Order: sequence, then C-alpha cells, then structure tokens
Amino acid sequence: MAPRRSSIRFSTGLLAAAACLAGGILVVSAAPEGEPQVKGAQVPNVVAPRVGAKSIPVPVAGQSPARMTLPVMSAERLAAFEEAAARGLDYLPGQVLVKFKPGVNRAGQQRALQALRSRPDASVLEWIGDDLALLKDTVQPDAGILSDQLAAQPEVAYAQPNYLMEIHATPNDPSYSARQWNLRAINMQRAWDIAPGGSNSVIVAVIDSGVTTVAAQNVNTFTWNGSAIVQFAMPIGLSPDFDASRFVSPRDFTISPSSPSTLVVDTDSHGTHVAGTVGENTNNNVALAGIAYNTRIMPLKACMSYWDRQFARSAAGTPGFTTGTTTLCSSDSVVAAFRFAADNGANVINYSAGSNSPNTAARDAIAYAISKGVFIAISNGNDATDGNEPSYPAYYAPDFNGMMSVAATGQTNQHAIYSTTNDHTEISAPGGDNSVGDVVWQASILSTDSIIGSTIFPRFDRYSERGKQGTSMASPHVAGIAALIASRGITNPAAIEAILRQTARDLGATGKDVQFGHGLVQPFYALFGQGIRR
Amino acid sequence: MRLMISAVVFAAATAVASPSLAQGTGSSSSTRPPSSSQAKPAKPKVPRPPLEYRAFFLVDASMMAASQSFKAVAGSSTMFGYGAGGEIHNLWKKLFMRVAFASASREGERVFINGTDVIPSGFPVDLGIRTVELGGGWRMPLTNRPVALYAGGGLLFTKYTETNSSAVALPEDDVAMSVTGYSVQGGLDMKMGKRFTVGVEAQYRIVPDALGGNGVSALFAEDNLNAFVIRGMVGVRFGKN
Repeated sequence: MAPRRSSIRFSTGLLAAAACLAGGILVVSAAPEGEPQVKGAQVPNVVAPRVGAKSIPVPVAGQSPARMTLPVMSAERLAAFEEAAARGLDYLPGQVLVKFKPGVNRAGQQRALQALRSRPDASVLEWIGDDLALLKDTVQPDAGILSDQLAAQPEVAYAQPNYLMEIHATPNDPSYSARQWNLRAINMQRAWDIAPGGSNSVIVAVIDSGVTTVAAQNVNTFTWNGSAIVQFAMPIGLSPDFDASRFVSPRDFTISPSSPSTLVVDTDSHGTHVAGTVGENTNNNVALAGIAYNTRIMPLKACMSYWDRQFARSAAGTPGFTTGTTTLCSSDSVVAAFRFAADNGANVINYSAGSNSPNTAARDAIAYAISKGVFIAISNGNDATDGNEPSYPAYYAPDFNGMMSVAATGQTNQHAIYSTTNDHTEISAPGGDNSVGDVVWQASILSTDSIIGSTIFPRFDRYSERGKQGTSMASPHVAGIAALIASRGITNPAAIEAILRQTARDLGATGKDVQFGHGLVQPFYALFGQGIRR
Repeated sequence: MRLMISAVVFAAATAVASPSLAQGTGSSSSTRPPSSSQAKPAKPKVPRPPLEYRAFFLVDASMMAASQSFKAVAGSSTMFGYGAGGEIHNLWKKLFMRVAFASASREGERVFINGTDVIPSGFPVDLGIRTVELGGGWRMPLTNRPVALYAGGGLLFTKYTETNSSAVALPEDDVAMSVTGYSVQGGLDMKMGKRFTVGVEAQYRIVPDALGGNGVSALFAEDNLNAFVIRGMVGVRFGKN
C-alpha cells in the first residue's frame, strides 16, 4: 500500500489549512470578548511520575486523589503515531488488526502468521475483545502489505491496517448572537416538556478526545520548551458545566487499547464540546444547555491530541516537538472503546470521527455494540468540499438498524457546505455552517491555554464557551435525543433509529436524499409519537 | 368543484321527481295490435306512488381499509359510529334519495413503529370521522312482503380529525381535514307496523388521499379512508303509504 496522506477532515479544509500555515495553530477559537472564563475545582497538589510508573493509584471520576499520574502512551506507540504523521500515513506503520475465523486455534493463528516475513509468534498478538487482535510487525512497516498477506490466509476472516481517523470538527470563533440557535432549530424546548433532560439511568458513551473527569492543580508533566525537556505542574479540571457525578466508567484507550487508563483528560476540547451537546448541565446558570442533561456520560478517550503525543514524547526523553498537529483516533483504540461501552452498560454511543479508508474492524465493533443493545450516532463526514469521499465507519450506517450517520445543517436548516453528501447519510442535525456565520456553542477547554506553536506549558482546567462547526457537532444532537428516547423506556437501538427516521422533518429532495438523509431530527415528535395522519 | 357536482346531481334528482315527468309503468291488457280503424284505447292510468318520507337513526361499524394504521393507533381497524338521516322515496318510480350524517370516533394512543412492532408513546389521541352522505338509489319491494331491497350510491363529505389532549400538545399537532369521496351501498329494510322501519345496509366508502404523507399511515403506505361499513337503521315513515 502506497503511503497515503490523510485528507484534512475538518469541516472547512481551507480554514484548517490556513490555521496550520499560520504557525501550526489548530485550535483557533477563543472565549468571546467579555466572557468570563470559569476555573475548575481546586484540589491538593499531586505528583505525576514518569511513564511506566504503575504503583500510583488512579483516581475515579470526581474524586480528588492524593496522588495521580497523567497517563501517557508508550514510546513505541508514540513513535508509530509520529511516523504516521511524518509520512502522511492514514494508518499506524507496521500495525494491522486481524480477525481469525471462528474455531481457529492457536496453532492456526501461528500458521497464518508464518505468511509474514517476520514470522511473528502468536503470543505477540494484542487482543481486543475475543476475536480481534492487533499485530505490530517490526519488519514490514507497510500495513497494507501486511494486511494483504494475512488476509490471503485461510485462517483469517479479515486483516486491515490500524487506520487513523480524524475528528469531524473545526474550531471557530463566531459572534455571540449565534449561540444555541441549534437547540431552537430542532425545537428542543418542546422535547424537554416531555423528557426534561432524560434519566440518569441512561448512559451515553462519548468516544472522542475525552472529557476530563477529575480536577488536579499540579499534575507533573513533561514537555519540550524549545531547547530542553522540562517538568511542569499542569492543572487539569472538570468543566464547570459537568458535575463529577455525571460521569461513569471513564477510560483512556489511547494509552493502551487493551489496558486503558481510568484517568481521562481532554487535551483537545473536541470531546468536551461533543459531550456538552449530548448533555452538559442545564438550568444551572452556567454556560450553555445540553440535550440529555440528566443522563450519565461515559467518557471514552480514543482520540489523541497533539498535546498527548507531546507529553508522551517528552516523558520518554525524546527531545523536540512531536510531529503533526491533528488529533487522531487509531482504529485499535476506537474498536476497544466501542466494545467497552457495549460491555459496560452504555445505551447510546456518540462517535464523531472517521476516515476515508474502509474499516472492517470498526464495522465489527459497531455490530457488536448494537447487538448488545447500544444505539450509535456517528458523524457523517466533512468532505463535501474536499472530494466528498465517504467517511468510514459512518459509511456502514445503512447496514445497521441501530446506527445513524448524521449530516450537518445550519441555522436556516440549510445543508452545511462541508457536510459530506452520500448514500450513507441518514439524518441531519445542527452542526453549524461558518460560511454563513453559524457555529455550535458549548462549554469547552479555554482555547488560549493550549495554543499549539505558542504555548509551552498548557493547562486544561479553565473553560469557556466555544463555537465549532462540523458533523462532529451534529452527531451528538442525535445521540442526546436518542438518550431521551431511551429515558422513556425505548432502548432497542433499531427502534430508536426507526423513531428518529420516521419523525424527521423532510428537507431537500422529497424522501431520503444524500444531503439530509431522512431529514432534520425532531426531538419532540421522536418522544411524542405519531398519529395516523400526523 | 365536488360540491358543485353534488349540487347538480341533487338538482337533477329533484327534477326527475317532478310530476310532469312521471311515467306509467303498466302494460296494456290486450295482446292484439289495435286496428287502424279502431280508436286507440286509452292507456290505463297507473297511479303514481305517493312520496314517502323517512327519518332514521343509524349505527355504523366501519372496517377501515387503512387497517394497519388504525390498529396501530386505535387498537382496532373498526370504527363505531352513529348518526341520523332522512330519505324521500318514490321520487320517480322506485328512486329514492338520502341525506345522512354519521359520526365515528375512537380513542387511541400515539405510537412508534419499528418493523412490525407498535410501541406506544403514552400520549392519547382521539380519532374522529364525521361524514355527510348525499345519495340515492333504487328500491325493489318484495311482493306481498313488508321488505324492500335497495341499491345505490352517493357522495361523501368527510371530516377526519386527530385530537391530542395531552398537556404537551399544541393545536398544530392536531389534524382536522375535509375530504370528499363516494360510496356504493345495498341493503334491505322492513316495515314494522304502520310507521316504523328497520334496516340493514352494507356500504363501501371510497375516500382517496385522506391519509399518508405523514404519521403511521405514511409508514404503512395507507393513503385513504376507504371503509366497508355495516349499518343498522331504525326509521319512522311519513306519508300516505
């Protein structure tokens, strides 16, 4: 497989490219002028040891630990990400996800692995769930060749590169007046008359860049100051618009898909923004409103920011800045997160990322989650103005009753200019369209605290209202509404999809179309039901 | 337009009831052709049957063609209704005309549909079908029996309603629409003493384009309010007959 440059997946490629050219700045939005920033809760100082320390107790959500560590990935894993970024690959080099056919035993697995030049032992396979394994080949970096060789073996059901997916959002900084038009556009107020915030028995897993679930003022962290690796005390904190009690079973799969950390820190802002739309605290006189604000959030970090990689690089003792500024979600982490959510009581999953490469492992994980009774909302892709290629795994949505691929609309219910148009589009929700000044506002990490290229010592404990656009922002609307439906006792994912599809307001061409799918999601009618004629 | 058509039909029917247009139906008692030299015998005058008026109460059981939609929302595809009407018999020979009003209603619940599963939402909705019939037909009395068969048809002016009573509903969530259709019917009635009648009738109503578009009827591709109706009637006769 020829090295392939990942396409810029942000909703407006030109904006993202311009931001990168202007000094590698990824996050360009900031708190609106005059907007007071809100500081996270204060806790006693803690000391975070370097990578590899395993004896440090890891806090659970909402508790103030006496000692904690900021988990970082291994040097080997970091190297794979940096090499992928340096070579413009959309997969981690030398890594494949392989699924063996049912009944293939260890001997069969070993025989299949002999097809590779490195002839690895089956014991090196890292298992994600019962039937999917991650193979890291140190001899052949081209994961396409590895997967082709493995896929040709009779014992193998499929093999694929460990693809990297990108989040489907673009940071923005629009006018204050645009805030929360998104909830009015779908008449959320009426839906809350029926299901005010949903039930705390419903769990929404947000597979993303994480949502910080614990506050700590001085987490010892390593970074590069331009001339040396330095240690600094990094503050982290919860969003003031999320109570710690709202979080359940946080996990960080970017550190290790098979052995995730229970400490989750969002160093990007995307995950917090997405979770905010799903259901940040509402009617609390803080920041903005979320849709399912009484449900619980399961923050599953599967997407790794620039800062995650930088901290790991410095912690490993490697001088310099990490390569690439894009937040990336590796398939192994994503697959592990889907399976974890399904196995740990999630009713709804939101996943706002994707790539242009087919991803059978992700498809299998989706099928697994749906089979466990989980409804999935997934971003449709932001490539309408950038080749309009389909986005995976959103592309698989029509194959499942229980997963919906969500396109984005703007303030006048117009198709957002960037929102991918394809047969896999199933439903629409507000995602913003900055070409006409619309963005979706939620509380998230204060952008000026972690500007790539100019910030040396970032902090992730201060929050502001931030505007973003993308199908990333549209998808959590559907996830939140699905959580409200689940709160009313309808938890069958196929039923939730049917309800959302049947009650959507048809936009564009009559019936299902490639721009809007079945139309704009209508939360009130998705809860109110249908009569014979209306 | 349909109102105009119905008005024209009604006017025409009224016109044929005019005595000047009444025609005898009796045949000559002679089988021989009349001789050209003989004076043509006067045709025996058959008395025109007197007009008869009836008023009746009715009870309908309507089996809706949109059965899946009605079963999903109302739990049954049968709507029961009641009403009243009036008829004029012997307008011309055995022609009769009818005007009737019927109202059917049923309590239901808003639902979600997932394949073959019907999932109740918990919010009530009342269904209503009110129909004005304007029609007529031909009566065929059975000899020496107080029973008459009849067949006919007519225009239907139907108002279909869905009314939501829950606190979260707004008027815009209700449905109130008027549609025009037509019907064919046949039945029999029997005189009960001098003034009373009872009857039973089978009616098929065709009311196109009343449903579909939205709601569960769109999901089931049921777009009409067609119905097979069994009607029972109790009436009172007026007139000289």
